[in-house]
Amino acid sequence: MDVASLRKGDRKAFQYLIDTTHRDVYRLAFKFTSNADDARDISQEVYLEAFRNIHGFREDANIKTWLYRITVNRSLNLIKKNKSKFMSVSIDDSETSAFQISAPSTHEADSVVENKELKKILQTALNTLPENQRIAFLLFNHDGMSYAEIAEVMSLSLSSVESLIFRSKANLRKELADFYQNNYGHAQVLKNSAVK
Amino acid sequence: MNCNEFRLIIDQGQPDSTMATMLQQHMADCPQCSLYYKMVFETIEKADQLLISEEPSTDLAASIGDFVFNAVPEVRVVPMWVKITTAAAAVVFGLLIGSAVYQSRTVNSTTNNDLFVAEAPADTIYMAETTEIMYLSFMSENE
Repeated sequence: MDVASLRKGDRKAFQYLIDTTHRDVYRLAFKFTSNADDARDISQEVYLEAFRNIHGFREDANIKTWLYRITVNRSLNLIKKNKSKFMSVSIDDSETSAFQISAPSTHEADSVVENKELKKILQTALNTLPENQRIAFLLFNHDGMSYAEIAEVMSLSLSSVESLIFRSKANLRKELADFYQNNYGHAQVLKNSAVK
Repeated sequence: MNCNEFRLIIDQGQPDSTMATMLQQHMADCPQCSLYYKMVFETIEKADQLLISEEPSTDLAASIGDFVFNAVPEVRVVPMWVKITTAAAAVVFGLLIGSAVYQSRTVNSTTNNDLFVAEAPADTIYMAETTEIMYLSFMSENE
């Protein structure tokens, strides 16, 4: 990537940057918003902000990390603006009602839960995490990002990132265990009583 | 291993290799714990596969380019030598104009010099004379 050309405002160089990185930016925005239109809007805004501020970009820095940082900020701004749209869904709300209806009997339990349903449950559980933990977890699961890259995107130390990811996983496990208990716990109780 | 022990290990997050074998054995006999494992452990550990986003449309890159370049009008970059030459030309032009104006004023002042001479009338009494008169008057009165 010719950063010098980018800093001069070379449009061909910037279009090349868009061509080579827009997929990752879009996918990251989608992970935050779970909405194609929002991800598209965020991608456009990310590159507009990048184009306007490219002269301030340090040549020794990683441009993809820089774009990711803008993407995270833009995504969070959008989520904050539309808080009701993004945050109102509880893990036991209607979005997963189909999943609840299809609650399995004891013997077919592990074959019923599809990845699509697990994705919904995970997305909803992610919404219950504190913001920093959610960001760290999503970045950790995006494009094979290293702890160091996440630290750079979030402007945090390496140890802080490690701690955030550890705590995010612990909180998610708790949230998912509660969900399991609420939806499948009764099947377990029935099984245990049948054994007795 | 019973179900409670199994779930305790899962809840702690990172089972070691010996525990993993025991977990596998337990899951083979317990579909509920197998589901618990899938939901509580695998969902998090394999989140990168679950959270795969849909691919952007093929025209996204082009539309981003249009959006950005339309929002920021192109600024023509002026080379440095043009800037320096322009500045130098402006300075020279300014000097020429200044010089011309100065010369025209100088000529005017030499030709019309008399107009600006103010002659004092004969009865003008200057400050020094007034003071001297007052002094002499004072001395004569006190003698």
